[in-house]
Amino acid sequence: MEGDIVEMGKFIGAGLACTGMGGAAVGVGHVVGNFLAGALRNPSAAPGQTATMFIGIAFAEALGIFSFLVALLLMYA
Amino acid sequence: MKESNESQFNIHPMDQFIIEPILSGGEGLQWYSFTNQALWMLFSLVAIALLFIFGIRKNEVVPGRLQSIAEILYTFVRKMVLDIAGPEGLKYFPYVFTLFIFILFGNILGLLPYSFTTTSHIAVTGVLALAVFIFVTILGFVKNGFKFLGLFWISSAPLALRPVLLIIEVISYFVRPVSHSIRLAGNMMAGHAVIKVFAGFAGALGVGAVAPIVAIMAVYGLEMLVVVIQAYVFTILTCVYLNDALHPGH
Amino acid sequence: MASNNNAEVSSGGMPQLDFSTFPNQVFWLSVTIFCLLLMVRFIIIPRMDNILANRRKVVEEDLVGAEKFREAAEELEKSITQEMDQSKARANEMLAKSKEKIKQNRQKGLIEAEEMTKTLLSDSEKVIVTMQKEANKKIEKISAELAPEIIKKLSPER
Repeated sequence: MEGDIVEMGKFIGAGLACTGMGGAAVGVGHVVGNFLAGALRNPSAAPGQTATMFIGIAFAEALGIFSFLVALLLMYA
Repeated sequence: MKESNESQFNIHPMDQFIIEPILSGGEGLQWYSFTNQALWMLFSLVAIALLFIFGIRKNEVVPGRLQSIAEILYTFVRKMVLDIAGPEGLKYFPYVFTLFIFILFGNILGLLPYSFTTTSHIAVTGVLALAVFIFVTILGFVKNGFKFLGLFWISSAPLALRPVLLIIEVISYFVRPVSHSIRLAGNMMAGHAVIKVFAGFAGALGVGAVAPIVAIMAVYGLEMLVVVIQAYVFTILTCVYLNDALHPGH
Repeated sequence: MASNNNAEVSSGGMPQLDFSTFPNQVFWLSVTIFCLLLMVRFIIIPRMDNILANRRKVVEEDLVGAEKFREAAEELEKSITQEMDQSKARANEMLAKSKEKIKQNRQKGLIEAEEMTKTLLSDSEKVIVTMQKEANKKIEKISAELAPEIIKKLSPER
């Protein structure tokens, strides 16, 4: 019985940790959206900044990856 | 995880990532035993050799199809290193290019049915990211001496904020290999697991499984994109870290 | 997790977190990466650099050749325009000359015609004058002949 409760707590915790990935999704969307808004205003400057956009996406995504990691650790470790 | 019901809905999306020894006569997994993962690493090595060595045999002015692909990949990574890490970074271009094509081919070959995705394993991506991390840290100290520590002491910030920023910067520096490796492995694993889950639905529904098959096609298309972008992101972050080591001032 | 063996892993769980496979993965990964690095460093990069440099050379040569052709074409164009200018000037000259000639011819003709008309006029005037004189003489003669007869007729013999 006690083991089941621990198990349940793990799964609930993993599910809650996954909500953090939504934040990363919002962040990535924000980065790309702002990039696109700027690129449409000044299309000639856009190609030089694509790499910067990808770096920004990677940094925004990193924090979502931590919540994913926490979820994985709760589930399997 | 405890699926006791042996119905048709018994989907194991993670089974595709199991490492099994092959050609070993059942002696179990040793550190040297040749596994399915090693086989697919060998396949990506062969594919790279086919593309870059036999695809560009002819020295033509107007390149053929394979040669165009090889040249695009080559000039793309070269330009990336040059743009981000500067001309000094070109010295480390072979390693960056090796990383890029290894990850790209591992990812793409992993999309073949019945294949094994080498880059979906945290051990693999972790070793790659740790190698980059250690290499870049040593390079930073060799190139800049103790000035490399200026990377953590932001002199452009107000003095009161600097200790706080120091802590944040140190943490984010040591977290780099973690996010670097788990981003790649997590993306590969999640995408392949999703495809496997939809495939399980299709298998359970039998002949009338139109919706899961359409979903598999859609996810597969998305995965083609993700596979390339993740290889790109891994490489570009390597370039960024390299730039930090070469020019820690900014 | 570390206690899991392979058989247990296959019924769920994450093969990625099965630490017993890590030495094997790291070993094969290092072997592959090492081979790939050697391949990239000693085969692929020299070859690609060679091909790209060759291509650049060929393209540059082509560009230089094209530049030469362009210069030649420009020179040709220059000479053509020069010749055209010359011939245009010549044609203009000829045109002006012939215009002058035509003008002179016309003037000459005009003068001749005027002279002709003048002589004609003076001739006809002379003729008219003589004819007038003759007519006057005739009238005088006739009137001289007729006068006595008129007088006779008008005499009171009636």
